[in-house]
Amino acid sequence: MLFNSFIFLIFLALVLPAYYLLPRRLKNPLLLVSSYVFYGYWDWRFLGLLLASTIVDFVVGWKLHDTQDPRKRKFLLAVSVCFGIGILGFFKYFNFFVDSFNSMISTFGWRLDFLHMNVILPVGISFYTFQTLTYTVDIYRRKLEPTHSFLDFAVYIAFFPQLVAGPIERASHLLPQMQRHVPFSRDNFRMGLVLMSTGMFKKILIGDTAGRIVDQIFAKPRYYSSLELLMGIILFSLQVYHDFSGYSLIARGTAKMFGKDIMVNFRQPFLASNITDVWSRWHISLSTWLRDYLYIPLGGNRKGARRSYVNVMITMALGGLWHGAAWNFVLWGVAHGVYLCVHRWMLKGKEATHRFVFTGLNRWFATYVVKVLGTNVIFLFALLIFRAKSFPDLFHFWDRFFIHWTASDFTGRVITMTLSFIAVTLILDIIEYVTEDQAFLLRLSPPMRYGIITVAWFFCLVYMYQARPMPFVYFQF
Amino acid sequence: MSECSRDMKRILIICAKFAAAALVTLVCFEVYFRTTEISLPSFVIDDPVLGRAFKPNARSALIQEGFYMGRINKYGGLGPAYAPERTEGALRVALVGDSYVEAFQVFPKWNLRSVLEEELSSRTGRRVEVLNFGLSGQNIRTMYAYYKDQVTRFQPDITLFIVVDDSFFGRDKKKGPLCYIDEDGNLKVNYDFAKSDMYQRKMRLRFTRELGSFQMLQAAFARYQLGETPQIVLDKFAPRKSVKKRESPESEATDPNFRLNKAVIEEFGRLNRSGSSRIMFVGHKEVPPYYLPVIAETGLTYIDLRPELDEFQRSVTDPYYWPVTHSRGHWNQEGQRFIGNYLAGRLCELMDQKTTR
Repeated sequence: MLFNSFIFLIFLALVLPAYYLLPRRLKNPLLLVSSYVFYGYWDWRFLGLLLASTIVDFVVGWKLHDTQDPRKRKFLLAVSVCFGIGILGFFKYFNFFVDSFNSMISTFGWRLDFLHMNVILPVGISFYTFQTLTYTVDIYRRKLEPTHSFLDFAVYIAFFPQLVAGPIERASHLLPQMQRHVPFSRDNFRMGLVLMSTGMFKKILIGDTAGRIVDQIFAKPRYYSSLELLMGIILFSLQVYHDFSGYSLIARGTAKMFGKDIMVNFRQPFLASNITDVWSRWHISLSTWLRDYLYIPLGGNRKGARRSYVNVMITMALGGLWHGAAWNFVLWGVAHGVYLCVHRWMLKGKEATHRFVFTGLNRWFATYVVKVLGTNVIFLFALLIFRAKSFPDLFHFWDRFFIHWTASDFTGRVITMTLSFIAVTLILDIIEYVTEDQAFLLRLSPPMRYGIITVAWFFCLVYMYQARPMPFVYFQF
Repeated sequence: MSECSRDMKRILIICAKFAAAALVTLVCFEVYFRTTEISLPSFVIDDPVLGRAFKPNARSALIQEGFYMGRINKYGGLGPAYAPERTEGALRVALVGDSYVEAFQVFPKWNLRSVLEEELSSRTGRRVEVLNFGLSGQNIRTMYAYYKDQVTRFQPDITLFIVVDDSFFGRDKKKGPLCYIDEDGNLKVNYDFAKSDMYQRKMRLRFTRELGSFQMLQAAFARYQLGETPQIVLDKFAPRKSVKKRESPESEATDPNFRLNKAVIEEFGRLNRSGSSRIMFVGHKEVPPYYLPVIAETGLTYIDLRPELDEFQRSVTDPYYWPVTHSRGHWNQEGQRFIGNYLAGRLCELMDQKTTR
């Protein structure tokens, strides 16, 4: 079920009142059933996988808690990790590795085509697998007590607002919320509505509208001029951002209506003044997951500078691979690894600056603007690797940007379109940045707030009605 | 002041604030839709003679099967603004047809008009001006009215009518001129649509076409009229709409439009013989076979693109395939180029034959 669909709104309108009307003991069963309905709406066959993953980690969690023997504990952790990574590896990466192996051995004239299988990627597998892993790893590290209730755990894993595209919630944060239920509160509902409205606007009227242009340009880049290709990549960055941050806002808003708090996943990444700052603002739940469950276990920066660079590269390359089973994603991860290493080397042990405070149109502000622009340029450069359909297409983009620049027949319009999308992004982000609040609309008086929300919803619904709904970009990961 | 009037004042202030915020947001959305070209003011207008026509100098952008971005020229046509007066020494070709010729799926640089103009120029070494008179939903009868009222103004040397089966079977729209055969058996065009209530109502509401946000509403309304609401709202729970394949008449006896279509073709034949403009038919999909002898009898040239397109599809790529929507539809960029190249070759051959004779 897509958030940007009428069927989801109907679903929510049925589940939300039912949740508050039902007695306490039936609230979690309702959340579990509705979450499974939400997930099974795509393909009910993968519900078994979700359930299996939940059972394995629940059992392993208990066994880990009960066992003191370090070897046994390691074995149990290995079972959980192997199961999680195993299903992820099979459904997501099997064909990728087979095809890569085939193209390698084809240089010797051999092929093992029969190994290629028609495997469908279950929606959200990368997200819920990582989420279940946090549970067992945290118990292994003795940072978390296992839950007694399978139902609470199953709801934590399958909670529909964040099931298919995160944020990847830590058990220590979300699980306790599944064990207590707050009564209906107008404040929660109001905040949820505001977050959901902003998210819908971002997803439907910015992300999807930009995405329609992006899809066309990247499908046949040879038919577009350099300027149009540049518009394509800039709009893609805005599409991914609004698509995913919009999703996260809708997830936060929906969860808030149920009285649950979900973590903030994006903090105005395009206002970051360096690449390290970008990663503290972009897909925060994944970047912190990679830091805590991959980079630090690899040794982090505890084993010397050189080793820390290697660790960053491994983390980012695997982070790239997490996004999709293709070499361009790995390369994108490697590019970001290089950026982070270079930035770390430039910092020479100093802390990276994170928050800019406006003190007027002075030299500091000018430096900040230049740094933001530079950061966005290198971010876009890597993003092109991420989005290009194939390596020849990628080289075509580079050729059109750096060697054979071609003019557009619609220069003025292309620039205006691109700047308009950038402007609306900046307006939203600057307000969020200054107020440090994603629900900034709550600061307005109720009539003004609802005046804005009514018009925004009206156009979201009209656009949803007249245009084919676009799935969220991150669903494919 | 009584408590009641104080409450009333408070409610009025709340309503005023709500309305003001809504209005400002509405204006912001309108600006956003226009500048990002998500939804532009309409580039189509209602014309009392042509029915549906393009608005001169209007910006246009569409994303459907493909991505189109263009501007209507100052004469209300697609492509470069070639004046109705002939350019000395230039060969002028007019393309008349439906949405295939209109080509709102590709940038103008890649459409049939541009390719044909470029190819003909390079093959003949002459200045060539190709004019695009494509308009979606046209059938052969409305093409005739359009030819008479609009195309002839531009005095083309050659006019290519690009037709498919729908050009013969397609129903007439109430919003445009209608062909009919008068009591003396002559082909005539009726322009009474401009007097109809529906047309007058549309004219009164034409200001709404100047709003991008209204165009978005109109697109939604079009889907509503197609009966797609259950599918859009209920998704998988809505009953699947079975697509009824329209049954095409098998012979002239069962074709209700045959007499009128035949009269139109014969009129084209007469115009062709009069020598004002050479008229040709180009078929790229199944054209009802019983029309082919009619075309042949009138002495009009008929170019059948189907064998070439089939071969192109087999050996190179599908000219109707759109990768983003994973669907087959209008000609894609490769299809437009192929047809442009092919037609340029055929036109050069035909022009050579005429010179030799």
